[in-house]
Amino acid sequence: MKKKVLVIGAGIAGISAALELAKCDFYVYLLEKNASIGGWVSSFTCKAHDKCTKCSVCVAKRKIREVLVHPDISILTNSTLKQCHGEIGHFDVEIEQNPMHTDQELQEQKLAVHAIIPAIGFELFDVKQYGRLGYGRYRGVLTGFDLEKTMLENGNLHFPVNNTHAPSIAFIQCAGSRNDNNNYCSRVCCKYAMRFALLIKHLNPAVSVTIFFIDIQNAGKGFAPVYEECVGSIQFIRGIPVEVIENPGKRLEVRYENIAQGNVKRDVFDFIILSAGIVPRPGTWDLARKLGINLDEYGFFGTTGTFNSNDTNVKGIFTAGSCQGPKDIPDTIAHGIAAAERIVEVFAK
Amino acid sequence: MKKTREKTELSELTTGEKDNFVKNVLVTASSVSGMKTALEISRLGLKITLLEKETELQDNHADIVDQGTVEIRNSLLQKIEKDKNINVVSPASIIKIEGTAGNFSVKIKKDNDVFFQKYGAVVIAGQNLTETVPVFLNFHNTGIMSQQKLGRLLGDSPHTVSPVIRKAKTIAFVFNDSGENSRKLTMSGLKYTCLLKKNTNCEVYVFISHLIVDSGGMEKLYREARVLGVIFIKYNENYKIISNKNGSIGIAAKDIFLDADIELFCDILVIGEKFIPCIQEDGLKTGYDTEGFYQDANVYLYPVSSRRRGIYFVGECRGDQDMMRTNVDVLNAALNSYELLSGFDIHSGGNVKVESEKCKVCLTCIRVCPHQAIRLVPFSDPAQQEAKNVAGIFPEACYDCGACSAMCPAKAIDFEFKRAPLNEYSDEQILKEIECLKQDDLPVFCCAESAFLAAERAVEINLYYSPRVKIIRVPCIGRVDLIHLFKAFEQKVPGVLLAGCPEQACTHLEGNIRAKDRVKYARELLKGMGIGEERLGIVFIGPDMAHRFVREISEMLERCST
Ligand SMILES: Cc1cc2nc3c(=O)[nH]c(=O)nc-3n(C[C@H](O)[C@H](O)[C@H](O)COP(=O)(O)OP(=O)(O)OC[C@H]3O[C@@H](n4cnc5c(N)ncnc54)[C@H](O)[C@@H]3O)c2cc1C
Ligand code: SF4
Ligand code: SF4
Ligand code: SF4
Ligand code: SF4
Repeated sequence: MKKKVLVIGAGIAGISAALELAKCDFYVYLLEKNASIGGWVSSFTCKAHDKCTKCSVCVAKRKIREVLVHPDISILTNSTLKQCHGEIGHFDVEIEQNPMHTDQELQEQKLAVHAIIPAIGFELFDVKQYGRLGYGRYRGVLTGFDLEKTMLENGNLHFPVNNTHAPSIAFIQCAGSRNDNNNYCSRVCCKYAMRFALLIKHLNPAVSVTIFFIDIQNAGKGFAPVYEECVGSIQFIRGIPVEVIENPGKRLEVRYENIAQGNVKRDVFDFIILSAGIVPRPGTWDLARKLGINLDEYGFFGTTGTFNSNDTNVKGIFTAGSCQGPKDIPDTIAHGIAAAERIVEVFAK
Repeated sequence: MKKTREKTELSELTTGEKDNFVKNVLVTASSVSGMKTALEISRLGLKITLLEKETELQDNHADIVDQGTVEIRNSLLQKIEKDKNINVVSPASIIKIEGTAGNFSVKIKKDNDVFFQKYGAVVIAGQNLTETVPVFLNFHNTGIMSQQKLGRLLGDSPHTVSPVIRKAKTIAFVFNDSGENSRKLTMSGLKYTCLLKKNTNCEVYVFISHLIVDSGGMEKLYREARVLGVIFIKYNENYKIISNKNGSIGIAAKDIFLDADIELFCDILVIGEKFIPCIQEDGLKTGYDTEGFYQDANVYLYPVSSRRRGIYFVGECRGDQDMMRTNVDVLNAALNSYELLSGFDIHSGGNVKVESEKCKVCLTCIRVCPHQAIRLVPFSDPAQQEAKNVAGIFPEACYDCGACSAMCPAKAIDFEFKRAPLNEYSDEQILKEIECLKQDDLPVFCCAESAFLAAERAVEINLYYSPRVKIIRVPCIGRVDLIHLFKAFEQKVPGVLLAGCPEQACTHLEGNIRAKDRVKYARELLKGMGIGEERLGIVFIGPDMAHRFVREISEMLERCST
């Protein structure tokens, strides 16, 4: 009989782990609380202009297609974990499946599994908390995620036609990261901002693109050429704006401090993209409690062991992906596969 | 003489079936990551040979990031000694790797001996393959030192601080921010500034343009440094090293926030090294990234795969990887090797065959195969007296891209059309599809991994495109050869379009670039035939880009309809 593994969260981390386990002759239950799988990535778009900018969305989507047809992976959508008891080799778990239609009843299911991989991903920082940046108030203020969705759905951003101003867009980095509450860097937002900057410029050559930043995170394999391209064509301004307001012409005025001159500068844009930070999902604590695993100081799943980022304090439970801390897609996939390895290692004959 | 010996070695290799796969893994070099990989693979029940360049197992970078790694290394060494699955060979190095996944024949140099050994998979795990080089070599005794040297003089406790450091009142750092590979050195730089503040009384300044803080708790470390009193000066453009009359060394840069030129004189100026690859000899044929590290910068290969199935890269040899990431790489490479050698890695390739009789042994296919799947194999043609070597495709390494088929001048290579779904890519089938084209049709050769998916998505989200567009799916646009293009023009179509993966994201590494070259060449030929070059187009489209796809084909239609 096949060994069984429960993977909680069908984001790209969970999917990568599930695929690898199924390959190695395990049977996988892939639990997803939403109606569809893929997590955040499923609403992302390819960000290549003519050259690939290494966003890895294509790789992730290929995995999503693979997992949908794998015979040894049973995908349980609209489902969450209700309870979990036991130890490595025999966990008894109870699954709650929400009905598709309101007239059906809540279904419960009991499963026995050998190991568990929590891979529930991250939540975006709620940028409405930064009222002064105008999110939710002005239509032109979007988050990076809104931009991903719009670009996927429409293939482009539609700039208002205006004869008096050149169309323009600004990215405001670190919205909700690298501050007193979240003193870590979200890792992905500088890069996606630069990728989008290049893509938007490629699609609309007349548009000028500005990025407001603290430090640009340009490290990572294959990113050097992308950054170089940005340096030539995009305006980088150091410093995070204090305020965004709509001017009478319905354009967005960004006010930022110019320390050198000791005054406030103003620039006007059609769109403002806030690079909302990555924070733990609200459900992380609840799941950690049910599984008996610890959280780290920021509220992500904690791990044990020197330099090991998969093992939790409970044997047989291994975290995967961005629920352990911010990760880009390649790191998420690698982390998912690593979690699978930890399990295969235990049960391989 | 030597050449012929190699050749026989080559021809001795047999086509590998899963059962014939050698269950041994070669791991090199035996840095911390290499040792960990070996132990990990051992736990999965395979045998490992661990190659070490030096006479003893060692790790020449242990001191950069974390003093703790020395202890880790020692405990790993003990475990390796006890492990019966691991065989350490030193001092030895790889000269080249022949063969294909499951049946590599690795040429190894040990002492003065050179020999071939068979392995099923190879893991390159080399910190030894990288170097941190000081940016300034010619500043001896001037108060300038490299970060690594400072680290050694500093030690990790108040008692280990060298008098040279203790004497200094002001120490300034310039962190290396050369982009892609500056994570690890920034991390060690931050650690050193904190240590200086904790263990000495000096003033510490850091000059930096972009501080990399995106992993490993670096943002927290950056905060800690500031709380401890380290002063960070962020500059635009560049900095200059200066000196004054007293012989003190200093640094000049333009501070972005103050918009002012700053000059700072210090007792010690610490300049961050650059992290570079040091790959002297390369018989791996696995490609490099833009910075010269192993592994192509192609997202389909991440995290640890290479263009050759069965060869994996771990840790620093594929770029600047911190310990956390390296550890994840280790687990990935271990699992991949295990899957490959246990028959779990179901390989969908290997549906392309050489018709041995037709092969003229021009070696074109061997040169173009991105996955190193073609080698010379013995063949005795019944029509001819003597046996000769001809090109042979090793299915376990082939990924069905069709590049060889498009390039073979003798038309000796084709997709095997016996197997049901794949006959789609055979010459016969592609030509059939071309023959069905009507005069007004626009054939679009679409890469199955990118443009074809974009086309599918266009239908899904109800984007309209002209029914004159006829999509011909190919495994990679590198599959489309000149004959296909000319056959299409023979059908009097207004134009032909090739649509493949964006540059540097080709699933088959350089198929799209080859196609681009071929289009350029074909345009010349077309010009000679009186067909305008605008009628043959090539575009690069990502898999989601339905809108872009529709726009490109409409533009193409418009262009060639006039
Ligand atoms: C705007 C934006 C742009 C980005 N762009 C890029 C980019 O260009 N390149 C790149 O490499 N990375 C990018 N990233 C990062 C990328 O999104 C993450 O690396 C990736 O989504 C992480 O995947 P995951 O599986 O860990 O988490 P998620 O995608 O969050 O998936 C978690 C899954 O678990 C499910 N789940 C949650 N809680 C439960 C529960 N209790 N029970 C069951 N299921 C649950 C969720 O519904 C979800 O499906 C971007 C991120 C953002 C926010
Ligand atoms: S990595 Fe991103 S930009 Fe490159 S092809 Fe894939 S989806 Fe497009
Ligand atoms: S990646 Fe860039 S925008 Fe995101 S938190 Fe880090 S520094 Fe800020
Ligand atoms: S390209 Fe064709 S003719 Fe040349 S070696 Fe390969 S199979 Fe033989
Ligand atoms: S189809 Fe591609 S991978 Fe296979 S042998 Fe030919 S060139 Fe190599």
